[in-house]
Amino acid sequence: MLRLVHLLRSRAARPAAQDELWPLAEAAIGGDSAATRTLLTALGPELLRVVRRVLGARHPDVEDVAQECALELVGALQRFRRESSVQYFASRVALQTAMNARRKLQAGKRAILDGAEREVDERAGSAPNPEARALSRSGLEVVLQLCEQLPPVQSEAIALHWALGYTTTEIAAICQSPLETVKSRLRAAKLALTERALADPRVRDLFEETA
Amino acid sequence: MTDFGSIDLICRARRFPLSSDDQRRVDTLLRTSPAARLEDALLAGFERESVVQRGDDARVARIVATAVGRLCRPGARIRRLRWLGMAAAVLVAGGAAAAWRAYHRSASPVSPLGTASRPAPVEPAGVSARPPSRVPSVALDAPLSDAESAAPAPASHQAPSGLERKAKTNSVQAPELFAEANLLRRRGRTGEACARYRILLAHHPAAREAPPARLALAKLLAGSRPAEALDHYRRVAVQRGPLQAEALWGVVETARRLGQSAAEERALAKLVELYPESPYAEAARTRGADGRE
Repeated sequence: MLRLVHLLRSRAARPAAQDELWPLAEAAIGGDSAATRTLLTALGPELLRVVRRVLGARHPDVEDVAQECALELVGALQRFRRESSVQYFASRVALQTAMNARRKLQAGKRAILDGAEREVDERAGSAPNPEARALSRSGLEVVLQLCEQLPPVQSEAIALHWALGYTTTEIAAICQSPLETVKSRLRAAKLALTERALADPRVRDLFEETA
Repeated sequence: MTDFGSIDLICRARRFPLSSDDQRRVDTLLRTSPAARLEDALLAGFERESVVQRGDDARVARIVATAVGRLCRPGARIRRLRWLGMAAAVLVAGGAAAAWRAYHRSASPVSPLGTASRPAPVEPAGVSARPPSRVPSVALDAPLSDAESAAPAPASHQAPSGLERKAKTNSVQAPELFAEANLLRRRGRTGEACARYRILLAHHPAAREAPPARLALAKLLAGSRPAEALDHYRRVAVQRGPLQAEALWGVVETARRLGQSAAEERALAKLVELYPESPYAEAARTRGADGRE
């Protein structure tokens, strides 16, 4: 009976059979290199998008990390059980890979860019842009750091929501979790993060400038 | 302070059209709640980071080609392990030979009484042999040009590091050096990555990995040592091939940084002439037009 309930729930959560990328993913799982190439070409912009959001658009390792994401994705497809769409699955794998890469890069003592170049980057980022209300990269970095201090499930939910811009329904599909669970994770994460972020002078200053 | 309204209302407002009621709620939230404003600013900030850039098609094509290339080499890891094993065997054998030689040198002097002098105690090779430094002796700050590094070192020079020695004896091949340098670069250990690229260029100048290594080295040096980077870019840019457009673009950028406007213009013109369809050419044409204005 429990198995039946689980089956029905997983079918309900599964995006309908119209996942256009599934046939390609299936062939890629079977080792078809042409299908793998086509699948990665279709998902490449999404991988790039996720990596840029996590590392920053001007980070010199964006391409390398996106490539790592592509390799991770192909490996992870073996355990893909069609509980979400291939694209959601790819986003999740890319987010985890990019967050790991970000942690590794920060753990290294030597930054790729020296201080002067970083300052140039920051200046470039703070130049007038169409999104006058957008938080600058350094503010986003602080928030990503705070994200990592949360319990893993909350950290993933808030990163999917804030960094990748997914709604609660989409996060529920991506994480294969009930909607209410996602909402409660997000609520807890937002409460913790917002208070910490607004208490952090680096975010507060940047935020007040844009307010 | 932490009033978000509906948990994802701000997020939905950025992506979907809202009902007039919801839109009013969003406006009120943004006016009254710092938390909602922070969330809105965050979402906008992350969106701005992922704007599609010029050349993304080519970038995605490169990512896919490299990833598929690596996936199609299932034995690559095994081969790398095999090479590492062989390098370790060579090291152990070298250590043992050194210990054996030291033992015999100390044992050979004969005492006047005809008895062999007592050999000096020799530590086991595994203990006495210093592990080879993983960081080669070439430092990023050292003013070492390729011409210098490619020239045979005089005998009086300080002993080269383990990696350079192995590179000289060809026990470490270009692909291994290249892979290691790329890994170090990705991890942000720029100095070590530069050192490995330099060793590769010095000891395997004709290897297939040499041009991409030179290009990677040029990119790493572009910020701190643009003159040297320009030299590397130029060397890659003179060769026809898949890297030429990227190298020409590097020449353009670095020459501009160095104020060499004639060199910049020549490279721009060559880029547009040789690769009119390349993503770089589009940027080159724009820059050329800006320059003329």
